[in-house]
Amino acid sequence: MNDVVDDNDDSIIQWVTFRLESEKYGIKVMQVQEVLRMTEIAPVPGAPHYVLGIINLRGNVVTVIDTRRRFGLQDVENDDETRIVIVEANNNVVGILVDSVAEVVDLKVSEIETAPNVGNDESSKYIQGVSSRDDELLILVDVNKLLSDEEWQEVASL
Amino acid sequence: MASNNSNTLVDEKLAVSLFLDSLLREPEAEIIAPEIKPVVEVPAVEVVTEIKIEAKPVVDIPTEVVVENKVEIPVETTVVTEAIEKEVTTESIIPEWANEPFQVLLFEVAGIKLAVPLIELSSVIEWHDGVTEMPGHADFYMGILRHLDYKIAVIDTARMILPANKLEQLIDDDPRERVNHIVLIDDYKWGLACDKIGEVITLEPNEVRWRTSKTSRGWLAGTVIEHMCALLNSEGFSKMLEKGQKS
Repeated sequence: MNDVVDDNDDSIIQWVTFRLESEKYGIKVMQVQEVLRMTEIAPVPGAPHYVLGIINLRGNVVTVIDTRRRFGLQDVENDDETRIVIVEANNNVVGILVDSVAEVVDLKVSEIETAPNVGNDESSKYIQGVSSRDDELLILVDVNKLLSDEEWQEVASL
Repeated sequence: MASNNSNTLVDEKLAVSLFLDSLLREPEAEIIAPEIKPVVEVPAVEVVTEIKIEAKPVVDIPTEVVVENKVEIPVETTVVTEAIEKEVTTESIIPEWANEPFQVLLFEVAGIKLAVPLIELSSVIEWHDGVTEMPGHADFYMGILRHLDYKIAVIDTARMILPANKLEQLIDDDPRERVNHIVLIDDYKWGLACDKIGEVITLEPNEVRWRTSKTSRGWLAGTVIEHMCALLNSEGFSKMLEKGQKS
């Protein structure tokens, strides 16, 4: 997956949007396999703090990442809106837990801007850009960079 | 009672004054001049001293003394030069715009009064909930604000400038409940969230105790004791933000 901000053409890319806390985020639709309602997540002893546990998805074991914790947000109780978005990233199929899934939006490459940054913060490198939409700012996330290479390996070995 | 109140006022002023003074001071470790250690420690001490002063080559020394090539005259010269350079550059840093009287806008963060020169001010806007929080950033980065055609990085000024020992007061603090205005600087690049906006005053250059190059607080241009405030150096502030540094 290329960084769309660097693309020269003005093609349209589709994004699945979801909410965490009060902000809206987007991930590329091509990486999303399906969206699940909240289901039982079995904790894995000794798993990294950003891993909530595993689920059984039609016979396959899928690791679920705690997106709130990854983004430095407070934990909240799950509710009817809570969803697990199954994505393919860095040759792994994982679930990311989100507060709710909103919609699929089309964005032209020219509508995506680089997010203002403070310093050279490594922990926010998964933010691919931002885009103004419906009077709010959509934060575009590069799922491949949600975890570091070492962390992806760790997830794969669970 | 009146006497107690006046004592309290004096105490508060004294405390603020001491705090402003401390902004201009550096940790002692940085003031200590570099220690110049003897370059060589050999039995023939006198011989070594002579060599260092005259910077003569080792040629005159009998080979038995074994001062050898360890006589590192160039190294010592460098240390001395560095020390001199440090001393020279401790003069006050006065920005160009401060060669004549200038206007500043006063504002407050976490009980500290700050002043931003109008010449470096882009705008002031009221705080609103349109600041989009960005995950994974430093604690002083509040998020992005869309204003006009700009996407402005909003900073919790208090968390940025308060020294470590004063940050404790912000442990349970939610800046979104505290701040009510955003001071925009550096051509709308940065927004400094503040608790209260004050008045615009005119300052004479000699009213400011300008910081020196020895002060590591890049955001500080100087302090104004008469108004009990710290004068911002917007350029320095921007550089710190670009590097992700705190005070």
